[in-house]
Amino acid sequence: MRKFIIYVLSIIIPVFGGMALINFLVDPGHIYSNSYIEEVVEGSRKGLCVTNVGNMDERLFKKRLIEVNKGKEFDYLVIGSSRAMTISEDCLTGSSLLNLGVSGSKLEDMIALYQLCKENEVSFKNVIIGTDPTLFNANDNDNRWKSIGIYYYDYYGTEDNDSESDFQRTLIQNLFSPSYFKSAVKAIPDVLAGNTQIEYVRTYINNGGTKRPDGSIYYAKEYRETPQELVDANAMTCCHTSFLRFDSVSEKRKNIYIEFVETLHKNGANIIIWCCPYHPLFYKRAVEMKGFPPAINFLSDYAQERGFKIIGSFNPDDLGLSNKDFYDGLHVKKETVDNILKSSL
Amino acid sequence: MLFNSLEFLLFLPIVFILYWFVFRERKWQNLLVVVASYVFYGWWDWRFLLLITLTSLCSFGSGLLLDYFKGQRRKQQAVSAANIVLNLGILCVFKYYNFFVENLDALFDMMGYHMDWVTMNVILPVGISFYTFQALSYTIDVYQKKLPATHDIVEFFAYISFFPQLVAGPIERATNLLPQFQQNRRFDYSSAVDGLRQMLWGFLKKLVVADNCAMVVNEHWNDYADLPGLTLFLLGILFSFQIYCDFSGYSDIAIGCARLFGFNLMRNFNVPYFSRSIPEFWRRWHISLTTWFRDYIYFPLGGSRCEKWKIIRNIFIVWGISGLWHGANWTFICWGLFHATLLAIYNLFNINTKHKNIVAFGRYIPNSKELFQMGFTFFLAVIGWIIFRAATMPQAIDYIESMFTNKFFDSSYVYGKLYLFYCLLLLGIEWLQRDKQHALQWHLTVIEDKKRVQYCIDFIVLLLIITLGNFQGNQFIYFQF
Repeated sequence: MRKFIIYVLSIIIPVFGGMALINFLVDPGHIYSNSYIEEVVEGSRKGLCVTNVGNMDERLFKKRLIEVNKGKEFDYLVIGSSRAMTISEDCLTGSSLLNLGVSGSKLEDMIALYQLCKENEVSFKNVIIGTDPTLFNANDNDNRWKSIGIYYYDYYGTEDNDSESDFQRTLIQNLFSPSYFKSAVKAIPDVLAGNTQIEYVRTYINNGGTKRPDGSIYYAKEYRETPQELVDANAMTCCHTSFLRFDSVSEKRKNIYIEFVETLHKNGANIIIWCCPYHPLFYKRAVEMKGFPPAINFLSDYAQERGFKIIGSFNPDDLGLSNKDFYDGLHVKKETVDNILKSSL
Repeated sequence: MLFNSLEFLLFLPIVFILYWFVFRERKWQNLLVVVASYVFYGWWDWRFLLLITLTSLCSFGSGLLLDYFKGQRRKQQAVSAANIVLNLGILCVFKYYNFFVENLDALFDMMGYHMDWVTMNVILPVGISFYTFQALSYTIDVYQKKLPATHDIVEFFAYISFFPQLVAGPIERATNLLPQFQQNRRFDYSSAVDGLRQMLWGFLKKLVVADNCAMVVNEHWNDYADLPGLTLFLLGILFSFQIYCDFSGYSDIAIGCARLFGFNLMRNFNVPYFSRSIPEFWRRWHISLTTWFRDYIYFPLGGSRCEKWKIIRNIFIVWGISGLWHGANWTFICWGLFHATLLAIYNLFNINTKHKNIVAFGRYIPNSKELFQMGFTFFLAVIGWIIFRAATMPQAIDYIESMFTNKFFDSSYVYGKLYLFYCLLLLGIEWLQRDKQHALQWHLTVIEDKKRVQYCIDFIVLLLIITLGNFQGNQFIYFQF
């Protein structure tokens, strides 16, 4: 028996110990060190673009972005998912903009970021709310918002009992996470070659992914130039994975959305709802999801009833877009976004 | 509790330590097995425990009654019949009631009658078909005097609920497993290490091959109308590997896990994709279920020792039931009948009993005839799996039709190339190891430092699981059956 236990431990300890060590040292998501986010924020502080940006907790980055912009007033504030993250100052002439979009944004993210703006006296005249139908998906339980969850609870004046412990747990779990390990192993050659260093640059058009001083993003060259066949193939089939069993609309989420938008409006912000179009092939499948049409209907009914401006349309045909206007199934090319917004704002 | 979950990673060592270090006596170990198995099963939903307890109690009671009525054949017949009806009744209510009601409703509607049937909103307890069949095997074996009835309720409950094979088999016979609960177990180092290796191989199949293939298949399956024919066929192949690695992976984990506790479970898969004919395929796929049907349904119906038309009839009965056993859906029934048709054809040509040995025995490479036979059998199996995977029969037909009528090839639509490579690699290893119990059973006779090499292999396999595996906690496909 002793021999057996020694045998088992002699395999398990080096494998799991080595995995934890690599995860911690390579840290592909930069979750064990705060300095990475600080370096990226430093670019915004200096009014420069930051390129070659790797993975990091975007919520914490946006939190720091708000903090460095403390007391400032913007003409436009953008909140929403990655589908709103390409909205930049280029869309507006002579107006200032702060983009607080985060990947896979939930209502909780929007609320927490708004609360952060309030606490840091960041004010705005107009708010562009990137509203995706998935915000109302009853089956979507993504909890990435928890890294800024404390501000979400602050908004409601309730005590946050789990965000911090959840965050700590995630850090420990990631030490032993096979998927984090996979990313770490992939990142080793770049880390060793020093290719993961960020750079401060003046222009946003670079080979690497770029964060602009206004918080918006510009995709890496490789992504921007994905062959059209691959873009279409991806768009055709990524609907099921992107929409996580979107078979019903959550009444609770609808009510949270209404309450939040009304609060923004009551506090003097002009509401603009951004309906970012989907790739035509993606849209064709999305409308077949049970929850998708009711979510769209709710949004247009609500905006119409309250007189809020809607820009864009989820249906690419409404805007005369073709497959070529997209980077993938979900994301519209920057130039197309600029054109849509310029003609509407 | 899933084998591929963090809970099981903690559960297994705790039970192992308690089993070998705290409860050293057989009776206490059996009790621990029952408690651990109920925790394992109740982890899904504690209400499932009521049903398994009821099944166990009924079968245990019927065993006692069969013993009590020794020599009174009629009474014994009545007892075993009552137990079979009760067990199958539970299974039918929970698994098939809604299916039958919906189909009857449609049938009456077609005839112009409208009936107000009531459907039930019940969840299907995981693994119900597995433990029900295991319970039935006990009653039938006791009735047929293959085994004396047990008077120890703990060992019987342990037999029905033994956690490694509770939810997805192998479906153990009472004649094999129950006596093992009646004997003292001794820890055996080499058997435990071998069990651990079999578990490791099972995890590799499940997490690296099955779950990665599943990701691609689930993502693209429903788009069959727009995909090229070759892509559809490749998706069919990926699903064939998904279901094989998912289910045989589970069996490997179950068998390996049981060996850690000193139990030997029956082999459930024996490299089925190297079969040269469909009858051989079914001698190598889900062996515990096919032999169950053979012994308890096919043979009592007359088996192959009757007129040709009766043999064909028996095949269709068994495979119709086998299809239904897999799920309350016409796709499963049609899948069963599809295989029944193929088996009937082989039977008509009297080639159903050929190929009982391992393919290319003693050779590294098969000859061209064997290669063709294996390829053709695999092709038929893939067609069967497409029917099995489809949500409805019209979808299955459309899918197969699209394979031949859509544009044949478009390089942008070749999905899961990497996972196809994993499948080929897996096949390669299984080919080399096809005469062994599992693929990590290396007999390194030529290497001097055998232990160190085996340690390195185990280490690498674990590393491969971690780096290439899909850890989204996917259920095993066969749980739903």
